[in-house]
Amino acid sequence: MSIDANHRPCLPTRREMLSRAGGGFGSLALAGLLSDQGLLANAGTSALSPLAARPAHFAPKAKSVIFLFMYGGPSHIDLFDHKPALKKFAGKKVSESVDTKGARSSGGLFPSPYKFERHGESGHWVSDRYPNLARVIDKTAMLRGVYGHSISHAPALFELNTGQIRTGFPSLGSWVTYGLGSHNQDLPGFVVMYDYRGGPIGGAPNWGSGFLPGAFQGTPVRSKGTPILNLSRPGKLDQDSQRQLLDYAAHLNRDHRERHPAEAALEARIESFELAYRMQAAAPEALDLKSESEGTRKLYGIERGKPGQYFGTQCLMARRLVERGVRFVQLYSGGGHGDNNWDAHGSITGNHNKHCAATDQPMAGLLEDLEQRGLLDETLVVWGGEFGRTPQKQGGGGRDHHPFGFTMWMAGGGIKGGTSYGETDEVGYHAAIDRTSVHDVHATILHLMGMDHERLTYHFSGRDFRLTDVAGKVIDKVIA
Amino acid sequence: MRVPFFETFDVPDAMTSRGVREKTTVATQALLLMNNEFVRKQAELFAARLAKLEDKTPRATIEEAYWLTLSRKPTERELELSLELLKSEGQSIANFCHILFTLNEFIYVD
Repeated sequence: MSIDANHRPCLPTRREMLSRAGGGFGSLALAGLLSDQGLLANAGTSALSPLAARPAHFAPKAKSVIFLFMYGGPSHIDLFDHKPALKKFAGKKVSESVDTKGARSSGGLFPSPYKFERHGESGHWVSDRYPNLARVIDKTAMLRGVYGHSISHAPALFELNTGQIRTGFPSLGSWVTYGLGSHNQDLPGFVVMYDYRGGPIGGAPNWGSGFLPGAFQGTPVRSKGTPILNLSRPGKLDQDSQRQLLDYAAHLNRDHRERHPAEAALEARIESFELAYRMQAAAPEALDLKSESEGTRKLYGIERGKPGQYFGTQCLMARRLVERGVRFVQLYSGGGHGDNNWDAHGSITGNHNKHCAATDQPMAGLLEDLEQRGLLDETLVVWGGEFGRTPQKQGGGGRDHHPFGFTMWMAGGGIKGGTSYGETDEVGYHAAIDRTSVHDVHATILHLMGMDHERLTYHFSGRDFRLTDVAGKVIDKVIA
Repeated sequence: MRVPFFETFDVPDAMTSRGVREKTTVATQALLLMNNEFVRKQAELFAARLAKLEDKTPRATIEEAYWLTLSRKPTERELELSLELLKSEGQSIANFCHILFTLNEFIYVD
């Protein structure tokens, strides 16, 4: 046993013990061999730079994703899924003709209070709540037969974000960055920007990395106040002093690293401080809208006192992030509780008038701006909420949660604009034709990003996991 | 919601069982150690503790700081680097204490 005068306890360290026992380098060599042969499930990701860009399975159609998440449950029947039969059956009980799957709403069928019209060459139906989106509706592929498995917000959110109604599974954005890395090493690869009124129910598991390495978790960015937490130095520390401190730490960390050659995490940690230092400069620039012209801000509806100012800010930040190579950005419209999100139990008009106005110009502006900048071809824009809303009335004029059939849409990267897939039944209750599971939506998104959802796996708990579990089919009909 | 400080360091969600704690290494953790007010406050409290030493020379301060954080004396090279750091304009004992909290050797226990 050696006596090291610099250590108070005169015992070998665990690593010294292991390396003397001969196990350290043996297992290191084994890991190297397995990794070289691609036998480790995550061999594609480097422990040193998990966000380094990696090749896709096949030529990708899209480079980045912007996911517009309408938290609370936007009503398909009042936005995109026109159901004139509801007028005919107004006030009638739905349970006489439809298996309601035990859903709780007992009100009569309730025609949409909004006017519907066909728009563009596609003839997509859009209600009068979305006049600006209607102008650019030909860019979208409508999925009108999506269904989920939970009638409650949190599990439904988890399903749309992770494919499972339980927590603990990696989110779509995590899978995408795990598979592909990111093109910007000065910013996180997966950014989540929630509503200024708060995050969605269920919180971080919605953008968590589950059993995937934590480097792939979404980094929350706030649309009000400091966008990324801990980005600004504490008051008493200036930039030069911090740089000098980090250089000092790097010296010590490198010496320490030499004493522990088998530990890749030590190198990764040295790297993470460099990324963090770079983020302090890169992130404020990426998220600062001052350099955007008045015209651009107006395009997104960012005007003080106008309904689009907050979601417009989020959309414009999202464009700036994907422009800088960030792989996956998820924006939440609606936060907190009650009518602060799309959960229109009491009144469709009272709730949706407000949220539609807040998102209409920003979404249309985002699609137009991406196109003008040549970014729409490589940016996949996805719109949806955790479920739709019941065709029946709840209370005075609201609608309840409804996972059995609802609408999502996609536009941009690899999407054939003007197409549609899936239909609900006559009253908009069940997805009836070309029923589309959330796994199908996820499989399609991965496909557009150049990944085969059956080959994107991670070994955990004794088996290879997929985002799409043992299901999912790519919706070819909406792909260009 | 998990406590943001813990969440940054992969505390498992209490809603599901987890056989193994994730051990991740991401920049948001580095940002937290570099800039978080709580971490800074602990560095200042550490500096205040060192200020109570009888021997107020920089050398004695550095040696005690190493003993308290790393359970060992600084090497000659570390002592030199530390003295040089403390002499620089804009640096302080609190800054020095702060950076010790971020060291790999401090975070990873052998």
